[in-house]
Amino acid sequence: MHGLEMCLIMVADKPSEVKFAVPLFQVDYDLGTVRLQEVIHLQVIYKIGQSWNFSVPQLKLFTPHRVKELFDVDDLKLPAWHDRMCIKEYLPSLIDRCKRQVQEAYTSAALRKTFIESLSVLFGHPIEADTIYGRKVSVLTSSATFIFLVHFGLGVQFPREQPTLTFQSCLHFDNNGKPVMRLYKEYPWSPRWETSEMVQRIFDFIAEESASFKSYCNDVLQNR
Amino acid sequence: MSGNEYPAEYTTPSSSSSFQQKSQQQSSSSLHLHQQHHHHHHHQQAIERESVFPPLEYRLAQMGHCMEDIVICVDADAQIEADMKVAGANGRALSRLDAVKQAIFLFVHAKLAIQSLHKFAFAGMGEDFFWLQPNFTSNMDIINSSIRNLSSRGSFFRCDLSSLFHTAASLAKRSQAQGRILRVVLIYSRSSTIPTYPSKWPQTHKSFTFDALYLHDKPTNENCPQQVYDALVEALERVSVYEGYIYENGSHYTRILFRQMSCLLAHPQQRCSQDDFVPKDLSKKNTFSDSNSGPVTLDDSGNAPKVIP
Repeated sequence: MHGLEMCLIMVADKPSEVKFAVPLFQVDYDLGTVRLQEVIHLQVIYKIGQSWNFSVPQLKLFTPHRVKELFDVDDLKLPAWHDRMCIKEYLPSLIDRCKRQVQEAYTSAALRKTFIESLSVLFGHPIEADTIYGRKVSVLTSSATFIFLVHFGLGVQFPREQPTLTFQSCLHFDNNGKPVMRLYKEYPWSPRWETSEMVQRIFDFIAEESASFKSYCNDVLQNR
Repeated sequence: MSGNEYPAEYTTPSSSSSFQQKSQQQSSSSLHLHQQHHHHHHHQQAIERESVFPPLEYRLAQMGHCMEDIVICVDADAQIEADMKVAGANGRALSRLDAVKQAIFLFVHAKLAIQSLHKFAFAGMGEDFFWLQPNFTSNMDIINSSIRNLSSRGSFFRCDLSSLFHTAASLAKRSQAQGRILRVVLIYSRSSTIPTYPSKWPQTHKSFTFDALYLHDKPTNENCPQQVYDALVEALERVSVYEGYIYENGSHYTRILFRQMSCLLAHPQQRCSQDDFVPKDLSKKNTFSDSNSGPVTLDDSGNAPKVIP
């Protein structure tokens, strides 16, 4: 098994442990100037008893920090470890699951970026976008004289999970000078829509909601 | 355009009906003031722009996204204490400096909401540039106190941007080494002092973005805001590596100041040409099929914004 790492831990008054780090799958993602090439590992910890037996090890997945923008390791459910199994038997179904999950992550990233690019058709040129992972984009917009920002948060499960929208006024400020903001998580959404329809519906929602948001900002100021 | 020509939009309207004219004049004269900026601009995308009209499509793969180190440099001349048109929340007159402070709070909070890794430093401009808070930070306590402590320091009859630019060029190297980019945002408010800047600026020093926000009085026989504006445009084109944005505000309306400051949020590596950058008006129904109808400018009449006293 190429790339396998092993480590034996012996501590007085405690059963010894042997830890394995098994490389599962290499993520290969274009970051623009460089490529992200990080390996997802499975950590296997066996406790060593007095006699040799087939103990059930502790299992844990490790994803490197940068991969977290693409892929949430908690979303990957580990297959069951059957009695008398060894690592070599366990790996194939895990690697399969891993490959599928990472492929879905690449697809989601591509869809996020397409969505962001399509926003520009209706909202005009965005202020700033996460060009690498497509996780965030902010647009400056207005309804008549009321000017405000909308910050879009796109999760790793996009489009199954709809974007969060944070409205931020450019004209209303609290006692500390902080602009009034409001988070929207629920609004009409379907992951089955074409990208253009997603953008149109979000545009319509933001247009309709802008008056309420302005009232909300005025209320916040009245109550401060 | 000679230095003696003053665009008509600087005259104050006497009634609400003439205010509409002011809006139209203002938008056309902004173009008028802006023309020089447009023609001489040597932006890296200039070649593509000439061959493609309307503007390029928005493509993430063609843009960078480095985190920013932003120097906010505020004019320390007494003219920054002039009154804005709109009173503060308790009826007290609002100075340009008060409105600028609020605009900077807006800018910083918005930038950090967009991306928490951007950082800020603060400086002033008298005859030359001077530091107020030189360490780039996103710590809101330090930033709040830096903004609150901004003040005017007297009357200055000279303004040399050279030291600001040289400092920015050397800071830009440090930022670049960390995979970040440097930007300077200058807020200038003198109507009779034309800023000077180096006559030559080598390509190697073109390493930061320069934006400007110019608050000024109406043109009279005693001042020269048009020449000041033109000088800022020239400086911007000379030193800025990415397209710098410049806004002028002679209206003294805080809402317009906040709108302009919001436009300066635009990330330098992802900007379109300033002429093409206008926030869409949601009250004008927009669909994919009529997306070619072009940007809509804001109506500038309306309610005063709420600001902190």
